Amino acid sequence: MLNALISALRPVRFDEPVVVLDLETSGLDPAKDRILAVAAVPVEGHRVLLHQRFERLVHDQGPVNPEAIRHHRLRPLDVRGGAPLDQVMSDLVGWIADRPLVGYATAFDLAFLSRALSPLGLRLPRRHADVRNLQQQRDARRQPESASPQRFEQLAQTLGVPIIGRHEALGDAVTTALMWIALGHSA
Amino acid sequence: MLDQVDIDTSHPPFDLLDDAGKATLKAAVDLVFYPAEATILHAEQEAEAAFVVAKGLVQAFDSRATGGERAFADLGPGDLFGSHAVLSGRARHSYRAAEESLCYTIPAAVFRQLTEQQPRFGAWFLEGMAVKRRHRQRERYAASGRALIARISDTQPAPLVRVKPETAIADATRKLKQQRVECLIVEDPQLGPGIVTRTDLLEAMALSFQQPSDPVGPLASRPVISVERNALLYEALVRMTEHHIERVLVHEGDQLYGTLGMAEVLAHYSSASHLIALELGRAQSVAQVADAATKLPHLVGTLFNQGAKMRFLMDLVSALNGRILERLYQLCVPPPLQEQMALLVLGSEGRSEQLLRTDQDNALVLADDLDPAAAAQAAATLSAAIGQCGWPPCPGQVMISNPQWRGDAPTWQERVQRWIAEPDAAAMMNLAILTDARAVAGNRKLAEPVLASLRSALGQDLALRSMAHQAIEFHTPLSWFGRIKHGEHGTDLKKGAIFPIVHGLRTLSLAEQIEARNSFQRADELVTRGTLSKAFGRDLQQSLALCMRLRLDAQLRHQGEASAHPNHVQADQLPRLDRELLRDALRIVGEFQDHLRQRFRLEN
Repeated sequence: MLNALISALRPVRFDEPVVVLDLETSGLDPAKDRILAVAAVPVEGHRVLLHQRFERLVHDQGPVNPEAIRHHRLRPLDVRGGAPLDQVMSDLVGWIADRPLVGYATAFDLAFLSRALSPLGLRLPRRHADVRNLQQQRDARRQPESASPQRFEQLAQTLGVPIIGRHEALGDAVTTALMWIALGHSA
Repeated sequence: MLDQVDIDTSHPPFDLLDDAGKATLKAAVDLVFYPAEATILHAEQEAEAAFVVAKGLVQAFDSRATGGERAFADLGPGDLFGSHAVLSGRARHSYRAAEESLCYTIPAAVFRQLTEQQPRFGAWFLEGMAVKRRHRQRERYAASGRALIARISDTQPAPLVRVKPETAIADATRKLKQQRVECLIVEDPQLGPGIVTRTDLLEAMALSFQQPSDPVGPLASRPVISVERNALLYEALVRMTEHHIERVLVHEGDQLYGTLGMAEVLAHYSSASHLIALELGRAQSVAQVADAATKLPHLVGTLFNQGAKMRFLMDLVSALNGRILERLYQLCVPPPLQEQMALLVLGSEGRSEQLLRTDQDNALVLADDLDPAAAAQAAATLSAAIGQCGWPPCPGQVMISNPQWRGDAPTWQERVQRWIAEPDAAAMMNLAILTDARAVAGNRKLAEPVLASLRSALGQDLALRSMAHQAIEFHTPLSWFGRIKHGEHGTDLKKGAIFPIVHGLRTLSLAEQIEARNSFQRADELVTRGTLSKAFGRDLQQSLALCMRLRLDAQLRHQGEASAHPNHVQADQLPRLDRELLRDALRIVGEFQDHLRQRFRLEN
């Protein structure tokens, strides 16, 4: 039992298959804002498996937040064509299976996801990694006093990764996937 | 920043896929990271995928017969590679990431499926250069403002003249003459409309020995190629280019309206050339000729931007240059001397391949009994006048004002013998440009014995081998097409491609006793004689035309600036399709050099 728990919490290795995930939301508060789009891509080694991508819009009729729309460019019109949240969540959990999750500022996405998943009795794999934290830890080893989390664009530049379709869930997921590969390559 | 996650399908060749094809592609493609120095594709191995560079730099390597590898091409974002490897089952080249690179991978099975199921996409890879060239032509026509606006309805199509299939050839010919048209529509109730041109009738009589009373029906070509009257004019040009015809039918709805010839289309674009010709005919002084001559570069630029074909442009420029020189000759050489000299133009002007004027490269052949002092006087006046009309003096003094480039036939023959006996670089160059000489004014007969003896002297094996050697001297595709760094001059098209093709064709033509001077005609004749395969001859012509077009494009853009590197283009700034065509052209040059090596048994 304990062994199972320990192995479930061991760090995500760069050479194992992972899923890189990104959400677009109606705002920044996981307690009251809603998931509007989910995108995820598997990564195996140096390969981003675009052809196995997971990409869904979530049906949403909640209050409109113009600030967030400016950010993710998903108009109410766009998300009205989406699938019900419950459907998207159970598809996502099935699709991820037991692969570890990777993201940028993963805590944010996980907070939204666990709120959406718990009513369904579903849960995500326990193991996950955050490219922002990983880079911050590396920076801290070199310059302990000045290391701070890097903004998304800044991190992409640090790692020499192109920013692909910024502020679209799939684009951000692929960019994050490349950050993960770059971190693994320079590890 | 990349705008999108997936392969951009708005550019060739992926824009040739239909929506289903694009969906198939999207459902199969992955994105892969390659560290610097990683080998993406190994030569001689089966390829699991074709690749499109998303970011970074990938280099293609050629393995040499002598062992080792040589980088021959750079591939940047948007470039496709490995398609040949996938289609043929085995990679010809190795590909390595020159820096950290991201590539899209298209699984081999999917790529093959797309080429099989999508004919236009498949043709891109299977038919090679010709297809790419047509696409680029379309792009260029589309990019040209005026050509976009001009419609077929703006021109004057020739009226439609109809005959019945049983009409006799004699009656049909009479009808052509009376109605002043170039072709007739043969109305056959069973087969539908067909077309019979003046040339068809001529060839039927003269080559197939048909009788004037024979019917025209069997001579008609079907199906007829037609364009909508409301279509853009360049569509007509593209259709003619595609089908290798000089005339299309114009229809309005389902009614045939008239016929439109290449000449009429080009006349619409190039009425300026007729004006220049008229002006030259009227010119009574060197200053007036110079006035007309200065309009030529502008005309070249205009026609080029309207998408005129290179061979047409060169023919036009050469015809007009010929008239300029002839007029100057008449104005500058005293009438009693005019029949005692022949003016030769050398090099590119001799081959009718000059587009923008370069240096004067010319020579005079004198009658045996002509007074040298009188000839020198006339040559000085004529050379100055030619300079006034826009041909700067030749830095190497290859011009008629230099006594070394004047002389009677025996003097010339003696010079040629000396150059052949002591073939240093200058002598070889002299022989090469003299081989291409064309008499443009004066008593052209004087030049004939000189050129004939030159050709026969150079037809000897030893002379040919030294000439051929020059054509393989520059290692083509490659190192110079390697990575282009900022601050360098770019890619030298003359050294790397134009010279090897022109000089190689010249050498082969000498070996085969072909008198044609124009490189395109030389290639045609070499194909006719079986020295070159038909496909290879066409590839060489297209490669040459491409490099000439890219060079002209760069020159026109820098017109007015004193460019130190008129033969260079910035390969990394070329439109993607041009870059791809250039890469193909360079490969053709390399193959041609191998061909020359074998033909003349040369060492590397």
